[in-house]
Amino acid sequence: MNASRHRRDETLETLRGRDGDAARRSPPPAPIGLPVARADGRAKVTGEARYVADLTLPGLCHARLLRSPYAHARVVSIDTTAAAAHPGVVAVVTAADLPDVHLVYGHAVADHPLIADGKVRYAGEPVAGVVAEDLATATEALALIEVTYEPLPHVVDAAAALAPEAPVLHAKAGEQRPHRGFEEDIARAHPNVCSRSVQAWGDIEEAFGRAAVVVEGTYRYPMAYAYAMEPYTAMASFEAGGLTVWTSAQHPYMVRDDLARCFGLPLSAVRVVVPYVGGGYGSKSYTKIEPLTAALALRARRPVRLALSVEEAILTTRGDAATVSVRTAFDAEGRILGRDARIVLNSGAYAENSPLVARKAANRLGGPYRIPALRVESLAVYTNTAPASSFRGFGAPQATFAGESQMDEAAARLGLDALELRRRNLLSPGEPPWAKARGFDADLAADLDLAARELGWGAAAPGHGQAICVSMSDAGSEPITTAIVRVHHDGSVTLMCGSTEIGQGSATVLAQIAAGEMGVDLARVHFLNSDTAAVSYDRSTGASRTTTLMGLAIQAAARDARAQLCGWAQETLAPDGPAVVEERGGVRIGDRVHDWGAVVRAWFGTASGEVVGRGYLRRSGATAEMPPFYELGCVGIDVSVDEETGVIRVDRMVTIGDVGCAINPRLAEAQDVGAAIMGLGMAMREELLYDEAGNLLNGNLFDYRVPRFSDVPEMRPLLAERRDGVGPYGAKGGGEGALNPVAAAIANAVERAAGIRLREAPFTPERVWRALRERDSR
Amino acid sequence: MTIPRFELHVPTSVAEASELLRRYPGEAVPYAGGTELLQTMKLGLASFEHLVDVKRIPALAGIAVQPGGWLRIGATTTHREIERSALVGERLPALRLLERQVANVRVRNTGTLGGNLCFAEPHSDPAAFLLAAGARVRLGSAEGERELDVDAFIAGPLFTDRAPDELLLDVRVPPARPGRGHGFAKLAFFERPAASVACRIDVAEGAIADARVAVASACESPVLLERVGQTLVGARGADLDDALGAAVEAARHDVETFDDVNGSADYKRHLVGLLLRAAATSAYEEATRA
Repeated sequence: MNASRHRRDETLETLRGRDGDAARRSPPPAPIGLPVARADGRAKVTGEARYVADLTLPGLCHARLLRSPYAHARVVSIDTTAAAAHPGVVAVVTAADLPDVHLVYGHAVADHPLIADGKVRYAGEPVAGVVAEDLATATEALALIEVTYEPLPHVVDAAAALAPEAPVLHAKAGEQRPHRGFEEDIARAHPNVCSRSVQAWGDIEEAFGRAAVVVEGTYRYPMAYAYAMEPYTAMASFEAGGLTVWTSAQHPYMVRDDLARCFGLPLSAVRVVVPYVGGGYGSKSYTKIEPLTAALALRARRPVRLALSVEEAILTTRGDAATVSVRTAFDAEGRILGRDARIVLNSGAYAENSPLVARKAANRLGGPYRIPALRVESLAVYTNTAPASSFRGFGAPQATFAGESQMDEAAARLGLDALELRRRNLLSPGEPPWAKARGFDADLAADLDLAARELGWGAAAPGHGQAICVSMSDAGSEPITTAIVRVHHDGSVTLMCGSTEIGQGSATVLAQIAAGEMGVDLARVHFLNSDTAAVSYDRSTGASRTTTLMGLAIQAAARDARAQLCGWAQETLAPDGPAVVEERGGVRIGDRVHDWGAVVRAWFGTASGEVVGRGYLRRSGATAEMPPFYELGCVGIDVSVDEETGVIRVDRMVTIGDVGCAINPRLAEAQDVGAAIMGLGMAMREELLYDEAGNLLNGNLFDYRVPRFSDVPEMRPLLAERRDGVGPYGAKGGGEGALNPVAAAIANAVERAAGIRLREAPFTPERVWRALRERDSR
Repeated sequence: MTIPRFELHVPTSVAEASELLRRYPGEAVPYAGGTELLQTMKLGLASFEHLVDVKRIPALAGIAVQPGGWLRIGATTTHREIERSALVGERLPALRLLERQVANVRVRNTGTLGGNLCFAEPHSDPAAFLLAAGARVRLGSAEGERELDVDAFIAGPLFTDRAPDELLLDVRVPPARPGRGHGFAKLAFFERPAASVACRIDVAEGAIADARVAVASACESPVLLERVGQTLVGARGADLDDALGAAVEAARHDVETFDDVNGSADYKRHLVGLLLRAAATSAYEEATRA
């Protein structure tokens, strides 16, 4: 492993601890900060890794789902007789077969029946499930189910859904759930408004009244699919009075809570196990097919596996499409006076996590800037399309496309360099972006300088255009996390926590933190995670929170283990003194050193036993202020445009990973590269398209194009480590930030290269070609 | 995605395969690479109870130059085999260039030229090339054989002139010779191309004596634009650019494009013009190369 391969910002690593916290400035203990290889890399590339689809159980059955061909319809009747009689079929299940199950789930707004209950609200919604001895039989039986629908008027466009006469999806508002994570009441200004969030301060009218320059525009961000290589897969089994579900879920504890409610079980009787996961990107956050899989197992009286295809996964969850209408007022010196915006999200047929996406989009539209007056209204709107939910970036890509486009539009109007305009408005370190918020924990001006240097700002080749854009996300979700560190009598360590390894590298990074904190070799730390019956609670794996918040919980658990061990050493090895002195990996008593294993063995009196260290994190102490941290994005881009075809060529991308302290620089860089490429996909090609009838036109990987390696430009990931985060050794979250500014950066760079302003992503060749023609006709 | 159950037959002769296809009318289909067929079955767009695997039939395999200089490509030849064939590289470099860009390497390793033509997919680049090249196909059944132009074989989108019990045996491309050049150009923004144009130009005594232009992807079915080729005839050196301009206009006028995820009909007409210029230019260069 070559640490020098990883380019960190050494010159700026001046360790500006905000409160002069000495512990935060001290160099982290190895292996923290080292680019060690992924713990799961070998298993994944050799095929040794077992995903849910690889697991089996005695008597396992297989399920397939019948899906609605209509965007909106009443389900008049379902005849399952012939399907149930088909040889090899174990059970056919509809909502009518589940009187003992609480059908409706949803952590924010409970509005989602686990299977259509009298009505379908989007084409592709599950209407019936078949459980059979094998998949082919289940598939055959689907054709034998007869469903009579009464089609209803439907609406696929969010603006149309807000019209007074629009078809109504949900006759009554869904129940608000305690996990909703946003403060607003669900405003039912229109029955298709799923949620409404407002972020506002200052006198907006006064701000626009004295503006020297106002930029105004409407920006459209596409309906996208967070393609993960592993589609949703779950396996459920009822036994011994309880329910066990193996699933590809990011938040096993959230899924557990929903399952307990659906099946009327205590939390302790529900076990959710997450083995290897083939990518999440937010799409596997919260509950998906787990309640339905469990309901099928309940009626089949056998274990059941439901493995969706990619086509079905696209119909299960997607990202929120956004129309952002925004105007920003500047004074003559380029200082922002105010920003006024309306965000309309096309959130699909069910709330899922869109209410929180709407909330976060409102919070994130201001960006990392000092804005005296702000007014953002953000709506999550029901439409007859596949439900939208969390998607990497979480409202920030949609908001940042609008906000950062306007910064460059304003710079041109003001005759200012686009970076200089940003510098004049960036929040200073420690400055809260809004009242009662945590102070800003980054130095984005320094990040801009880094990006400018790396990109060669101002020295674009002829025909090329450059841009650098930034973003800020209030991240980390809730600081509710626990961890257990067990030190065995041979001194090896088991780390137990509820964080899910979804490819982001938490299995490696968290083990590094435990190894560093306990002073043991990384090879002697074993990581056990995401089994609600075996490890302790973690709220979620999302919002870029794991390294920071689980990292803090692990630090606390390690501290607890070490404190107990020091006490045991004193009690057993030196009851009469001298005082035990803690050392890396053990204790020193006089001139003798005892490692942790020796202390355990001495205390239990034989070669057995262990110590259990516990770590708890809540809104208290360093994590009392919200958000727990800000996630930053800073992306520089160099493009050229083919004037004949309208094809944009992205030649180079620079990302600044402002992560405070990279626990594993190699993984931190890889996260930024992945996020930037994902952003490139939505900026350039990715968009789910619905036709007038409410059918998804390109719900497959032939027609929906995610980036290939041949689409990836030269990538230059840089890390900025100023130890200014709340996490271990000043760490703060990364992995989403590099996605957020990409669309705006491309649009701004294209403006410089070709003199056209793109406000609708993705920037397909035809959209660019039309803009070029319009430019030429002016 | 689950593939419906089917029975697989592996005949070793054309007569045997034809007999199987005839035995299960409407239920049997020839199967070669399966890159289109199996996908269609998985998506539930087609179902067949009998798949007749034609890959073990020797008469359908191989690439060879026939007497008279015609290049024969057996129906079960994979895209990858064509891409890597020295014979193809020597005689039809534009076809090699085309094959190198077909889908992705997994599809090219499995998918066959015959399967591609028989499926009559609107986005078939090989069909466009073969149309422009004036290629002919041979069909065979238990009854005998017949030969027809690719143009006559491709009857419409996803529809060919092949009878249910017939097999496509091979494709024959007219001889490459001095004064003849082939060109191909395409644009792909998604998995399937937005537009592809193939061109064959014959030059005699310094002027274009014959030109054939075919388009795929942008239109409902790969199509030969006969009038467009004619606009190039007679052009030489200095006035080539004017002739190309006229051909571009003619192509944009004559091609019947449609809206889809790749873009609107308008935009695709624009692309066809751009691609025609590129394909015709490289065909002319090849034709006039000493």
